[in-house]
Amino acid sequence: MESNKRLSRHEQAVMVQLLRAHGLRVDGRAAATERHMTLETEEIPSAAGSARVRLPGSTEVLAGTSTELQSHVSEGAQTTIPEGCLTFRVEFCGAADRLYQGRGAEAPSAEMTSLLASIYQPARRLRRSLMAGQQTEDVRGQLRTRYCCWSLCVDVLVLGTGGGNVVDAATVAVRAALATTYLPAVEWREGVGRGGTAGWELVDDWERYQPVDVTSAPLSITLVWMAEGKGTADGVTGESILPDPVVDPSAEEESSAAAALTVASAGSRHLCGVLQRGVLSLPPETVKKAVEQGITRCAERCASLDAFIAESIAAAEADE
Amino acid sequence: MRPVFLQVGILDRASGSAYYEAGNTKLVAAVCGPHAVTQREGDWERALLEVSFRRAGWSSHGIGEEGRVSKRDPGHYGEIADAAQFEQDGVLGSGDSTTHNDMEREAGLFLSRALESVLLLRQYPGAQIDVSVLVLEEDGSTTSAAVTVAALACADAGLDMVDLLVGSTVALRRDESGGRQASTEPDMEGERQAVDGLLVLAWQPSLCRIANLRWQGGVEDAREEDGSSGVAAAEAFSTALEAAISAGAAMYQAVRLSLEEAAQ
Repeated sequence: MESNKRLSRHEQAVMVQLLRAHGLRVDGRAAATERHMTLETEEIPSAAGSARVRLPGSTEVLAGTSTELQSHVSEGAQTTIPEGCLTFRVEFCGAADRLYQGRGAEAPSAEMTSLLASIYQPARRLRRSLMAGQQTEDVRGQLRTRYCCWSLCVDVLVLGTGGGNVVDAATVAVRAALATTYLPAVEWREGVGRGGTAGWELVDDWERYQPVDVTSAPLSITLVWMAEGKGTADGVTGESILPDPVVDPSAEEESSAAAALTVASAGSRHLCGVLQRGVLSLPPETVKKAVEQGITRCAERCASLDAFIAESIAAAEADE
Repeated sequence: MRPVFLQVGILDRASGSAYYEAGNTKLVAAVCGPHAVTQREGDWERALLEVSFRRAGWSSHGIGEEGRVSKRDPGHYGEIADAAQFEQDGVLGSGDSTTHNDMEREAGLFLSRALESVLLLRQYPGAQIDVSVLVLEEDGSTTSAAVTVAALACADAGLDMVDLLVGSTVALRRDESGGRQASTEPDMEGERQAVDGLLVLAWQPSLCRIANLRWQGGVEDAREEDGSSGVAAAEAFSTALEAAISAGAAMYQAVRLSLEEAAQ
């Protein structure tokens, strides 16, 4: 997720000097301090669930979910537990940055889409909660099972990248959008299909709406290492990486970083993905430490996000 | 680990080239350059690195004509609600709609980030270096094989590098007793069985540093809903990392031998 907020060499040198000598960053944060995120849920009335996340410095990500019902018939006994379907579509807006105008948005959009798909791959509990209905019948001694499941598409719109750290903001937006998605109950009924046959029908009863299970939905933490040495990082051996990474990087820090690591984890239980970027290599001990730190921070973030969602749902119910 | 066959300098017209074979995974890498730039973007101070990673149409059974992975390909379900797949896995149109091209793009990105950390691009200002990797046959551990073979081709081309690169893939899975089992350089079946996670590593063998790395968490185990803790998650990662590093060290011996052979 490159941004065009590039710093000159001298500015970078000052940034690295400040960090090394005082452990401070240009915006006054300590190396391990995250910024406050602004999260608003249910912003889009026409989406099943939605969330908007903002970081200081105009990083803005909007996520919305849309649902579709799919049915399937399977002959014979079923042994495995069936799952629903989750897909992602990421779009970097041309308005966010000049870089994303025209075809410039294709590469970052595709990269983010595959990142989200890959970190949500382990979330089996989430996909299982998308199963809507199951109906087994006996057709002349043959067992036949009908399934009905939700196919959920999460659209992610990156509206601004000026504050950096779009990946982390996007994972928060996606998890919040999923957490605010409620699915109606589905029942197998006679006389609702074409020509009066039996079919699946939505039950229009708010009491029986079910939320999507997001306990296994991951959040990510991005850590960035700065290098000191000859100007910008370029795989030159004369450079050394500062031992302590910077958490939640701003756009300026991202563009002058020597190496970056994104750690995605669902709570503290499951490490869903680790991705390295940048032009300098990292020692294995540093990476291990960073992954541990990432898991802890993801767990904290998941807990505070869950608390926020629960609070906002309670507030919405109190309003009604 | 599967036995590896490496050969350097197999193509006459390229500046540098290499061939990699391990089991049924077969790749060719070619390097062209440094040469004059064909199109300019970015800064002039360093060479432009163009990496292309392509899979031949016949490289894998599941790949169809339009570059879509067909339904039979394990692990990839492009189509929704495919009956055969459903019987097998109980997944109705899984969220993973990875196509042939997606995989190529991802592997190419991984490769170019790994190469950027070893190539001294500042030595070739205003020039362009093309690295292309072609997968002839595919049977697991393709991305890590591409890293090894591309670095070998760069070395054959005589480009200035801080170190070589070796790639390694580790698949973690659970055995019956609940312990973790790491298998290095798995084939396609082995990658599929990686229920606990899959690690792809690009390793700098002399500097002992990680050039690039990607960890894909395994699918949640329904049996241990609350059992495992954060410590276990971090442990699985470091187990895989250790295994990948030692596999990388073994691969480095093969890489060195093939380079020495080519020099004679």
